[in-house]
Amino acid sequence: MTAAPQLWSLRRDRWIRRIGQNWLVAHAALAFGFLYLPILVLVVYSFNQSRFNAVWKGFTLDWYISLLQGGGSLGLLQREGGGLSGGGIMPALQNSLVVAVVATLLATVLGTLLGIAMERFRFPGRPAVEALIYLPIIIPEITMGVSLLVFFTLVFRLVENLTGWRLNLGLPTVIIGHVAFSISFVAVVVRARLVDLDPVLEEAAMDLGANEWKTLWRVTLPLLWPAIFSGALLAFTLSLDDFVVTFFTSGVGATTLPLFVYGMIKFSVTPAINAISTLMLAASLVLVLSSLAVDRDAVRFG
Amino acid sequence: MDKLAVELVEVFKLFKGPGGTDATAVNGIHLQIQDGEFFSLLGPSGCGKTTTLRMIAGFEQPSRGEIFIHGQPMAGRPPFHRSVNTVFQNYALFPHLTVAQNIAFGLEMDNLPKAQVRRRVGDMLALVRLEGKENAYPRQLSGGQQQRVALARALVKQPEVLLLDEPLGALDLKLRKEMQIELKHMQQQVGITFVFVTHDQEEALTMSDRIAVMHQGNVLQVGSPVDIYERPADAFVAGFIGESNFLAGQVAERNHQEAVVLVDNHLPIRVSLEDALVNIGHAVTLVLRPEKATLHSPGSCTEHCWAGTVEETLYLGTDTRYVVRLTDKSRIVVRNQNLHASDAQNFPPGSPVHVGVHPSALRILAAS
Ligand SMILES: Nc1ncnc2c1ncn2[C@@H]1O[C@H](COP(=O)(O)OP(=O)(O)OP(=O)(O)O)[C@@H](O)[C@H]1O
Ligand SMILES: [Mg+2]
Repeated sequence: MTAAPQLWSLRRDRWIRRIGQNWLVAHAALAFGFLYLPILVLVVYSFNQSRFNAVWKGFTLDWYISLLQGGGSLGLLQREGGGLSGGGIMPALQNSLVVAVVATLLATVLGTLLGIAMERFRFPGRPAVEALIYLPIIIPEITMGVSLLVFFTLVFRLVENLTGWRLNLGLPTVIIGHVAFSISFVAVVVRARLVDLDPVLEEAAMDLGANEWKTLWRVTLPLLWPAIFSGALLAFTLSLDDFVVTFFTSGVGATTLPLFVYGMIKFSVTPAINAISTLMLAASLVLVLSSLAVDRDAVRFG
Repeated sequence: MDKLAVELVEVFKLFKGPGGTDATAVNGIHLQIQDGEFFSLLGPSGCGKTTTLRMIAGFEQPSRGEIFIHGQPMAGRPPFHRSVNTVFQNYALFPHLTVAQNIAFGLEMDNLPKAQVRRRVGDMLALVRLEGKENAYPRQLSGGQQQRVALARALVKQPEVLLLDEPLGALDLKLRKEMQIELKHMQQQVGITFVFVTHDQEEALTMSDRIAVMHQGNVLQVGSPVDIYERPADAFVAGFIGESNFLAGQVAERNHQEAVVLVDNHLPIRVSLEDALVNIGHAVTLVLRPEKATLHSPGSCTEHCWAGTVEETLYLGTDTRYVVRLTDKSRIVVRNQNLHASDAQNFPPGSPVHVGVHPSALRILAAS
């Protein structure tokens, strides 16, 4: 009389486990669905012949071709872009690239130096700087955008009062804004690598006659190079995709690609937007994946 | 002309411990290292060997005291302005540079002409027998090869003093023995002063001209390997270098060569005094090296003899190690050479034996 209940409880356990497993699988599938289905839809419809997203009419590359031609054959594109900045997609793309390249260069140099300083030098107030370095990563982007706008307005007024020069928002302010948040990301990536880097290598360099500067140049930086590169790619991706900070810091004529897309959407969603977004997605993916690959290569050194 | 390569005068190093208390890593040591000497710092883990070496190299500043290299005071001088080079414990080879680039690094820092750099790197590769490996990266080398690159990288600078921090610590026993001989040979060849850190007493004994034994930040004794082994300055040195039996006793008589010591519960024993400063009535410790006592079957012992029973017999190949329990219950370790194949079976556990001790086999220490 003891065997039966045991068997029953065994069977019950197995059932619970099976339900549990299925539930987990379903849960994972749902989560992935939420994350990636919209993106999948976007990519698929960027190849749709129909002007409207809802109906599938057949495969076409027209939207991509029209983008390459500067949106010429799509009257819509030009008008919508014009609503914000008076330019087409090509000027927006150009702005985005200029901002991303300049901001990345600045943020990489400054962020690398900051990361090295955080890890290798003791200076008064270091704990405070250490907390501040994470701030741009954790505060809401909108806060960052608003505070930058307030800051620029203040500075402009000050400059005008002192010198009489009138300054306006534009690409330079967008670049400064992007540098402001990218520095932290670069610094964090560089620093993480530096933590793993045995300081004895730098001591060895000094032991062999290298002063601090040569040690930095010949040993520390070459060993950090993969992290610096991956930090730079991260900064580039963030800059290219950024909407919020750009929105607050760009004036007239400084429309970047994300701003341009937003301007278009305000009128109607056409497959041209899907095509732009798909291209941006592809570019981001390539950048992030190469940044990961560089970091993985770096493991061989350590 | 000063003949000292390195001199440490009352050098202290304190580290800020947790809670702001200072921990003393090096406690006012004096060292005088001769030019061309193979000098070892020997001591257990944490005794301050690495800290001492790092102060000579310039990675740490002494909290107090002075360091001189060839008579020059080193205070405030950074590592890159000192004529010493270091072989680091785990080699610290530059992973992004090839073997040849690693070795050339120090010469390039001195801005030597390219042709000269190439020639000297070539010479070094030959010295450490790594020809053909110049384009390999450190990760592609075996431990022994990496060790030799580290050595070459430091030696190529022709430093006045070479500092080595447990350079053989990461090698397996066989390779370690080979490298010991190779390193000693190389030092004689290049004639550079070596300051060699190790916690392996056998390594220190076989390689060094002189050894400083360190313990808890202090230098307990400086001397040749024979000095250190045969005439240990105190019980710690006697216990750390090789194996020792310690016997407590009291001085009953003395003249200037010998003393008669009453070892607890035993017959008075005659001991050579050497440099020991002891007087009648002093409590002393006698140090007896296991290999300097001899085992005899009862009746055949002709020296000073203690009766006992064999408790443990351990066959070690060249010799046999016995633990003998004496009649007063104290234990004594004896090691005798196996001169004949049958020697190992002479005294199985349980055998009644006599332990023979010659006066010259004992080292007398003032009890601390
Ligand atoms: N940077 C440091 N900060 C605080 N304490 C330190 C520091 N470096 C060494 N110490 C302490 O100083 C003492 C001596 O250390 P040291 O590294 O010189 O020992 P060692 O003799 O080289 O030992 P080992 O054989 O284990 O290498 C140790 O107690 C260690 O904890
Ligand atoms: Mg050490």
